[in-house]
Amino acid sequence: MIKRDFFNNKSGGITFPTIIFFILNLMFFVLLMMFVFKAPSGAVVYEQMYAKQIALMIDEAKPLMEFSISFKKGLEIAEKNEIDKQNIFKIDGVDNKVIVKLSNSRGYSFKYFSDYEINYYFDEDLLILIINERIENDL
Amino acid sequence: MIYRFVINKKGAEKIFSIWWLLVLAIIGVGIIGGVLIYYSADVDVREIEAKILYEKILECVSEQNFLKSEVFDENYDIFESCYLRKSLFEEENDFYFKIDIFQNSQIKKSFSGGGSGFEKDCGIVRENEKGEKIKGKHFPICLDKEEILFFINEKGEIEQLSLEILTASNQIGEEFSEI
Repeated sequence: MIKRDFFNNKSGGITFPTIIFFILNLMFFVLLMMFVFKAPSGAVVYEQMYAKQIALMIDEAKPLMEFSISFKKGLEIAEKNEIDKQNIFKIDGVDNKVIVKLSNSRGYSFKYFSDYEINYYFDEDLLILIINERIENDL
Repeated sequence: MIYRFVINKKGAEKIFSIWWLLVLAIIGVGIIGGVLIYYSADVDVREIEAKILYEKILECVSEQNFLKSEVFDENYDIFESCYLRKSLFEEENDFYFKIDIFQNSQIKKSFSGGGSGFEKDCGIVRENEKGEKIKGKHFPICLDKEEILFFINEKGEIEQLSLEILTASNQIGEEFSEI
C-alpha cells in the first residue's frame, strides 16, 4: 500500500515531484557526508596533532637523538592555504614552544619542558629534528 | 510550473511538507554541530606528559636500581641533570614535580619544581579512601608513585631508599592568530 502511494500515481508511473524529492534528499545527504568526511582533514585538527606529537617526542628524547616525522598531510594543507613552507613549523627555544601554522587565520603552539637545543629542517615531506644538549644555559 | 507541481499536487504535498524540511534541518544542524564540537575539542595529553616527566626524572636520578650518589651533593641541580627547563617550571603554571627521598621513613632529601598549588590540587584529585576520584576541568593530571632504590653510602654499605615522585601537567595548548 505504502509502496503504491510512494512510487505510483494514478497512471502507474513515478511522479515528477517524487523525483525532485529524491534528488533534493540525495543532494542534502551527499553534502552532509562531504562535510563529515572533510572535517577531520581541516587545518585546526592537524595543527594541534603535529604540535602535541612533536612536543611529546622532544620531551621523551635524549640528547644526540635525531628523528623524522612525516609532515605530508600538513604540507598539503599548508600549500592549499598558501602558507610559505618556512612558516609552517617553528620551535621557539626561548619559550620552549612547538608552533605549527597551516592556515592563514591561526596556528597552534604547545610547550615542551625539556631543555634542549633543537635543530630542524624539512627533507621533502619529512620533518627532521636533531636534539642536542644546550651549550649555554643562560635562559 | 514546477512550483505548481511541487506544492499544489495532492500527492506532492505529503512529501514536500514544511515538516520534512524541518526534519532535514534538525538532522543537518545536529550532525554539523556534533562534528564541529568533536573536532574542535582539545586532545588531552596531560597524562602522557606527567608520565614522561616521571620517567625522565626517575631515569636521571637512578641507574640500574641504584640512586646516583651525586643526588646528595649540595650543589646538585636536578634541572640541569634531568635536562629540564628551570624557567618554565618556575615562571609558568603548566608542569610540576616533587621528589622525596626517604631512608627508614625519614626524609633525607627533597626536590621540587613548579607552582606549589599543584601539590594541593593533586591531593584533591587523588583517589580518596572511598575510591572516588574528583575530576575537574582545570585540575592538573598527576602521577604519584613510590620507587624502592638502593644506595651505596660512604662506608660502602648498601642502603635501601624509598623515592616518592609526584609529577603533574596542566598544559592545554594554545591557539594563536599570528606567528
